[in-house]
Amino acid sequence: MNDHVVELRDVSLFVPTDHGEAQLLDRISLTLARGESLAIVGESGSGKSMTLRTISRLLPDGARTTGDVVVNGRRVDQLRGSKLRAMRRSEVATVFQDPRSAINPIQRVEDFMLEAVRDARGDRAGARDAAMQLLLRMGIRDPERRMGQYPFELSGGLLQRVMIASVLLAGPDLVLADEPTTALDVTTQSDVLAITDELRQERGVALLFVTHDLDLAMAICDRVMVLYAGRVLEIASATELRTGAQHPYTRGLLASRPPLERRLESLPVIEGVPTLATEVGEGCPFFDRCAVRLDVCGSRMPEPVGDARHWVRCHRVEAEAVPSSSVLVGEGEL
Amino acid sequence: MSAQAAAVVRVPPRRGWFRALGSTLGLPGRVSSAFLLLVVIAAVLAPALTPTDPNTTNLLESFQGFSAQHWLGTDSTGRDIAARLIFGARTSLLGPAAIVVLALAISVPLGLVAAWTRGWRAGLVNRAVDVVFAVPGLLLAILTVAIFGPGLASAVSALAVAYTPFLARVVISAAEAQRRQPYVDVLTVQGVSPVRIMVRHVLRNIGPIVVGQATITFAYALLDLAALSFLGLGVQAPQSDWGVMVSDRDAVLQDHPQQVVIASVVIVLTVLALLVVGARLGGETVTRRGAARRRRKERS
Repeated sequence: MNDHVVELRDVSLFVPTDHGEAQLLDRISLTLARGESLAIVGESGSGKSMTLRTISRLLPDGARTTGDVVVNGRRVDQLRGSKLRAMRRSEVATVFQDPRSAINPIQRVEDFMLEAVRDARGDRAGARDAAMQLLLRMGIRDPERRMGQYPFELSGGLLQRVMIASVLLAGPDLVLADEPTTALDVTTQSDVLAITDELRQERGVALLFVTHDLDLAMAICDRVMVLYAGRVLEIASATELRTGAQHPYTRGLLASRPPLERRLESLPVIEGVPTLATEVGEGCPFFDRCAVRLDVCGSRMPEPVGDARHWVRCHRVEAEAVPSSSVLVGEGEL
Repeated sequence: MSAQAAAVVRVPPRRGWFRALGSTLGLPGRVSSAFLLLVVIAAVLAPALTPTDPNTTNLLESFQGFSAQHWLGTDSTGRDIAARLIFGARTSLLGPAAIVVLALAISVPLGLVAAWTRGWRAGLVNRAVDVVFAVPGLLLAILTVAIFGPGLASAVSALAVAYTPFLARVVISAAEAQRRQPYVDVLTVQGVSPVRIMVRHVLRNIGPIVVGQATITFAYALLDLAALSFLGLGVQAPQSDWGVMVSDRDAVLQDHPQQVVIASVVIVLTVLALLVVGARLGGETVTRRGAARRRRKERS
């Protein structure tokens, strides 16, 4: 249990609205060991970013969480003030989507990078050297010059490298990446991801990677968690998901990817619009759009079936599972 | 390696802050700040610039016109008007400066706290600001003078309180806008303390707006102080002050208007220059034509 860098146990998130409290996350559970990576995929509004924010505690005003958020064996949902700041400084770091707006525009690269480690180390010259080493590793050729520049003088790709380097500079145990490559073009994207992955494995950092790009998620992460309307529908290893996705929603997502090897007249789509977390009733959140729904789906949220490695919440899967075995592998019949 | 890369990529030299300031001010702003600089220099070097003492009376030379000896003539008691104008710049600038510094000292911390905490504390600050807003500055100053007696000190402290809401409002709204910027979230998850974020990052970003508003406040404070001196409630004779000069009851406007006119013109020019500089620094354009011209420039 204690070798987990982060563990979420039945974490729900409630935020205040004009008409009472709205529930954005419903009993999210996940664990992540050192050096492991987990992708959280889902549509806009499915609660991907909010899941990350329950860990970094960057929540909307008046938000309330239930359940346990544990980082390095400590409940971070109970941390306040300087203890919370210490945790943010040295244990959990976040990479944001748009580096352009994430860096104070009137701050030079050097000041931005060293701000994060200001209290962690008193040695500014040493920190500066470490920062330049990291920039070099991130493929920035002339760190000395870059350190003296302002954000507007750097391209988006360079800025995101600076951002990731600054995150790694603090030596975190866990990196939360909130769509870190969405603002970048595809070639820069793969560059940045390759270097990040290398550094992650080298340093044994755990990575929680939020994206709406399913292919990207399966390519760079060990495991993938599918989120829909604030609920986890399926968790599986990347390889298993590629071949043996079980939830109708996951399968729908996988089927909607354009194939590279042949032309399609039209892409398969999942009918309907994404359900909001606040609109979900008693049943499965995907009920409205599901092509293989059962009667029970509308009235009762399915319990997880499967094992810790690969589990899914679906009455259909449950109904068709071989009773003697709880492990489900391979394509189920839909 | 870095030298090689630097040779390939040519970076335009970073413009100095002085040139950046010049382009922010534009031509009207540059002219205005040159004028203000002159006024400040005159105030600082007053004893060196004036051959005659501003308070020496010579009844034999009263109400003289322009001459080589007395550039701007003399007043009812034969005092040199030019000397009094130059020495008057000292009190006339020092008073508003004190008001602005005091008002900033109250409004900046208050505004930052309100913008950061939101909730009931922000509400409290905002309502307090509203209450003070409702009280006209001059009225408050007259009231204070009535209680503590006339003089620069009571006028300055009253006006400082009266002008605090103007600055506080600007600080609150600008800081709130900054607070919603993603970079504040980034600093937060980096474990930077709220005080440091507000002082080192937010305050530096809203600096120009605050300085602009402070300059405009300076202009109004100068005007109000002159008005108080005119009413005999601010700076007391025989100390020279522009407001006092305008109010000189012996300067019979019909026969010897030069002192009143000259002092008034100096006040108006100074206030105008301050307003132009303040508006430019705060990012506004003073005239419609200026705004149109600026838009054209941006388009081309």
